[in-house]
Amino acid sequence: MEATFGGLSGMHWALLGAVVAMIGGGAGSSMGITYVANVAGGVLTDMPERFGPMLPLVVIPGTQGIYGFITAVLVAFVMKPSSGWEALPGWLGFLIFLACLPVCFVGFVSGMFQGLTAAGAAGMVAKRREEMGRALVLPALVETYAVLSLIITILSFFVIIRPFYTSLGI
Amino acid sequence: MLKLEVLTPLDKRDELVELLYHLGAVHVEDLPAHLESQEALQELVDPCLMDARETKLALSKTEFLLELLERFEEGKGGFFSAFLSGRVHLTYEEFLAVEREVDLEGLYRELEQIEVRLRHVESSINESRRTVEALRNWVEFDLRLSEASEFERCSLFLVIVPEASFASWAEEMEQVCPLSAWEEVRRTTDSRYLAVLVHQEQLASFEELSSKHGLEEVSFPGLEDTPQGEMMRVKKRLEELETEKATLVERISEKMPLKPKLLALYDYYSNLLKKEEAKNQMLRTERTVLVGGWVEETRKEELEKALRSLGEDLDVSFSSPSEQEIPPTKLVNRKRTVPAETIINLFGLPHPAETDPTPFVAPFFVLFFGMCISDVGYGLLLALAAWWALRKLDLSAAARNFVRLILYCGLSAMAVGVFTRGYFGIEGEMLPGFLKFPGSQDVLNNPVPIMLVCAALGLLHISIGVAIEMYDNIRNNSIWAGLFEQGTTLLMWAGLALLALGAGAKVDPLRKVGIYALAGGAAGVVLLSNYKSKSLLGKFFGGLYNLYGLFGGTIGDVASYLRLYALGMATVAIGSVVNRMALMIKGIPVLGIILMVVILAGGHLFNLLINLLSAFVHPLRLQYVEFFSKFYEDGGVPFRPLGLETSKVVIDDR
Repeated sequence: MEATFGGLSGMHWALLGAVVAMIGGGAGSSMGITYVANVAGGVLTDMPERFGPMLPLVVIPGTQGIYGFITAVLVAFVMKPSSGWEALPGWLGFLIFLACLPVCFVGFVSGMFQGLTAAGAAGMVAKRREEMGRALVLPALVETYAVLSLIITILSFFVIIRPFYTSLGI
Repeated sequence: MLKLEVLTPLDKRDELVELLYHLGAVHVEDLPAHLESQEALQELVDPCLMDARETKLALSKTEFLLELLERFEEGKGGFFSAFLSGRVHLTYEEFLAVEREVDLEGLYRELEQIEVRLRHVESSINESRRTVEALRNWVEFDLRLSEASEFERCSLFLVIVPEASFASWAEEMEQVCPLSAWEEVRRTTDSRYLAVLVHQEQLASFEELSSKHGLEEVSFPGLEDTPQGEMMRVKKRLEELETEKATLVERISEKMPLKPKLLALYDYYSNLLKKEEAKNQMLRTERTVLVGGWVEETRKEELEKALRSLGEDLDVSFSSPSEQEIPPTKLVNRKRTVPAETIINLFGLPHPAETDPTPFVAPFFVLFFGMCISDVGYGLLLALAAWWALRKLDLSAAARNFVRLILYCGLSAMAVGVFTRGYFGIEGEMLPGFLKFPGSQDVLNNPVPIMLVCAALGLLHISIGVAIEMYDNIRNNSIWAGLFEQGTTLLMWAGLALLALGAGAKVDPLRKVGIYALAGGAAGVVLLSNYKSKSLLGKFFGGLYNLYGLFGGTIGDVASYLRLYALGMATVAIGSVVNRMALMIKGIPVLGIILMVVILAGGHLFNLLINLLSAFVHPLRLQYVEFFSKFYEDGGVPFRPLGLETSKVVIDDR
């Protein structure tokens, strides 16, 4: 069996997957948090007592970065063949890379846009404190897709890719 | 909470307010604010508009004095020194005497004058500094500034020419204004300072060239001597101003010993204002006053007895709130869970009809916090710091609650750390064997079990949220909603948990029970959860949609709890990087050991601090977004009884 795929070894593909998952999720979250924190900062200048309701809104777009991190950790520890990375064929590494892409792309886009939605929600809470519950629901809707992408990534690892490990005996 | 109404003769109003204030048991309702909706009443009664202007004025004067003193307080520092400096303690008698002891009017007049003069002096100092700065470039110019403009046919200009355009400017000047001359006063790397003499007939051309080449014209209106002479004069004036400023500041500082008294005075007037505002919240006719409010049931008797002492002509009634009336919310918790009220207050108090979530929030917040740190060493540091603060610092009740919460969180981090083998991020291979007892897991090398624990805790946490909503529904007489909407969901999750447990532990009967419960719960959700719909099809498809939403939502919620693992692991990973760096540097002779200690102390402190922030924020998010969304309805008004309240000083005997 070919040890490389497209010129890269299995370990290289797997590492690439872990890294892009973290980059996509982390970058999306950073941008998202920046958007909402800007608005929250403005609100808090006038209304320091709104810190409590602002805090969860600012943190909400942070989830994507954490999902990227979890994906990277799963690749590094769980997807490592028991006989060492050298045993991983290139094509299987490429599958791991593919499985990482949902978290990378969806995390990036949803993190960014969740930040925009949360910024809108922060404006809503600034005007009407009692709307906190509703304000939290709106950005949480965007998060649904980040969660779905994490689930697909994890399912791909365990349902599609891991069985190949058993059949290859690695 | 009981609704209280007291009808009293007008002449007893002040006495009544005083009595309520001393009892501190009644949350006075703003009755005039409710009048808009009750037109019939509006005709009968007028809100009694008390004139609280004098108290407000005294309060703002005290505030002004305090701000002024704090501006010039020596050794005032940031957040921590404010914590460490301790607060002003008084007896109630001393507190009341403060109004007589401080001559507020005199002090205000004196310090206000000083402050006005100080502002004037400060702005003069700034202006003089600017002048000195501007003159500094022209000291070589030896003509008197007043004489510089007194020529018959010529005008003198002081200009700054950018070095880059000097050559072209000079060339064009030779052609366009041949009747002009200039002398260089000073040169820096990017500009030349020139005195330019221009014939009056060629003024227009000169101005045109100036704007073309970006020249900056400088003038010193009001100055007469040479720049050198003027600079000396302004500097001397600056010295005088600085001396005057120091004297003024000194005079303000002399009043510093009065600060504790002023702090007390501020609280004194705030309380006075509260009493006067309470009078504004009553309704009155020509001869009577109506007070409305809320009182805790436990204090009813005490209040009744006290009110009776005011005489027979008071009409007092207690009643339970009707459905339209919303009483204020007071959280009543045991001592151990009280610190978690901080978290509820941050979000907004629950609606009075809701269950107080504090007893549920407290253990999970502390546990989640511990999981985010998951290190015995860091937990110990936190717990020790909190314990020290509780013992040694003079903290307000709110700060005490917060510090106590941190103490519990530190202990929790220690407990979790024992199971995740976190000891200042020391790697698994280097730990002694007894610390790696069975059941403990290395987070860095074996993530899956801990991720499963996080997911299971998540499912438990949100199930508790659903159960609280079920309890609230049943308690508020919607038994069917409780059983059909939340009961079926709970059955489903219980089935899922049993199924996972049975599959994991390979116990077949458990797995089977799990499957049946899951199927039963799911069937229940489909058939019953939308029971309010009128048509049969609506019930079924609505239920089906609920099932879909429930699965999608819950998977998302549970996945969100995986952040606990990620944050815990981040703490351990950064800690172990610090250790590696320290070990690498240890090899350097002599200096190595010192550097190692510095890196270890600084690195671990840094790690603890950055992770503290996320360990606080993320469990909060799990409470607010995942947990509260299952049941919580905010919108409660805090229960604030009329009574002594101080924000600046502490009254020891009350």
